[in-house]
Amino acid sequence: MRIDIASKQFSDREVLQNLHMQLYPRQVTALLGPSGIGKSTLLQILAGLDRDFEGKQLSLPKNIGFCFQEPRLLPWLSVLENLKLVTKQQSEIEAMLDQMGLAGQSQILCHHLSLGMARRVALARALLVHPDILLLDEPFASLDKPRARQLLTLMLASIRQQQCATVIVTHEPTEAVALSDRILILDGTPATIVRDFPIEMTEHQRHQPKVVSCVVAQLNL
Amino acid sequence: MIPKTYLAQHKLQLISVSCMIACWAFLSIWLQSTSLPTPVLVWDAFSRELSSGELLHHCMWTMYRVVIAFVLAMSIGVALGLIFGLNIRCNQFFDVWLITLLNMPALVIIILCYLWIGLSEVSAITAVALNKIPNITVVVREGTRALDQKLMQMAQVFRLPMRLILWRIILPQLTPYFVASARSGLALIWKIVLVVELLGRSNGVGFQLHLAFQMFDVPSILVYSLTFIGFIWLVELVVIKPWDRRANEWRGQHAY
Repeated sequence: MRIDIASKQFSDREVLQNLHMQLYPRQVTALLGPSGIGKSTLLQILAGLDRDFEGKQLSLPKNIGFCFQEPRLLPWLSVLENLKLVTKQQSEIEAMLDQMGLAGQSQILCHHLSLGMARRVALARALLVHPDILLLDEPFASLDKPRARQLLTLMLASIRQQQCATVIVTHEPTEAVALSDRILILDGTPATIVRDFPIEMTEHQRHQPKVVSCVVAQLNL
Repeated sequence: MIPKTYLAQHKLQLISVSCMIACWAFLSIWLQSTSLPTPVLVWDAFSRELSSGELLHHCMWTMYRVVIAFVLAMSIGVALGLIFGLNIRCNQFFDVWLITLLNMPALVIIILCYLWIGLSEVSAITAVALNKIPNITVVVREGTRALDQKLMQMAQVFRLPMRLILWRIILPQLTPYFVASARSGLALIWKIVLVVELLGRSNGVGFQLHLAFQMFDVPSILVYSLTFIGFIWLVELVVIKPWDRRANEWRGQHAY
């Protein structure tokens, strides 16, 4: 999947300029940059939610898995009913809930879930569509450290099994290093990609916070 | 036999109703006027009308008109509200029509319906429904405009079919608006039905009120109006309140 953005504006303010991205299957790309730089806007463009930009997007993927900043579950439906919106395969849903550590929670109404649980359900929903592209918008925002660590471990296991291209938006360098194969750094006003480098680490190293911190320091992120 | 738990829960309301009846009794005894009969006199008239079968007969006719007009007004009003709320151009085109109908006096619509369609059941029900449709349309339209756009984006990304979007995302968010429309609709519709019956029908509570007015029969006026208020209270308690409670269960909670 390739996207070329010549310019993206909000009223008179230009937020993105001359941004070119190529995404590959089975590759996890982290978009790193300060808050408000336009990372989420870029994700919305990749998802086809925002078409109001100058430039072109070649082949919008058929199946898109999107984990929004807020889980965006339907609070009046149970966990199972929320997941049934995207797939009819009951066995697949049950296996996914099991994988997310939510076995036995399928009948809980979503407005009774904690933020951490809701995020896991949202991740399950995104994976259940068998996405061609998986978009994760600050998946650990508003979570405390232990919960974020728990979700990160779960994500590492889940997204590595996917055949799709994955894009993670974050402003946390440690999250970017731990999860991705490639980091794109967005900076400037209007924002553009200023650095693009690969992350070569074993799965075991990604689970070691000290190793991840070392890489962050080495890369001067 | 009223359960003790019910009495405990509704103690304040029961005291309030008792006070109202006490005030009425006090005023009627003090004034000694035929314009304000005592509760006992009204009770006697109630027993008389009930045993003759007249009360039930006329209340049922009014209830029949209320139900038909209510279902008609709700169905058309909700459909139009959804269309206007979701389609900006459609809303812009029909906004003037809506405001015109909204501001048309109920009496004008009733008279015009009787003149155009004739003194029939169809014109009576059409007049009542036409009076209520604009209000329901406006409430549902505003509800549709207030839909959570983040959930609509979610539906767009996951390419949910329109049927699921409507039943699972839009309608649950609009249910409180439906309840509000139903509640205000019922209250307004039965009052308009009385006017319609008074002007052009030969049965129903409105017709009976007209007769009682001509005979200066205040106890009968109170009997018929209080009985019908009782019916509406019953609908409120049995249908609308439980629906309202269910619809608002998730409200006030954090919608992720």
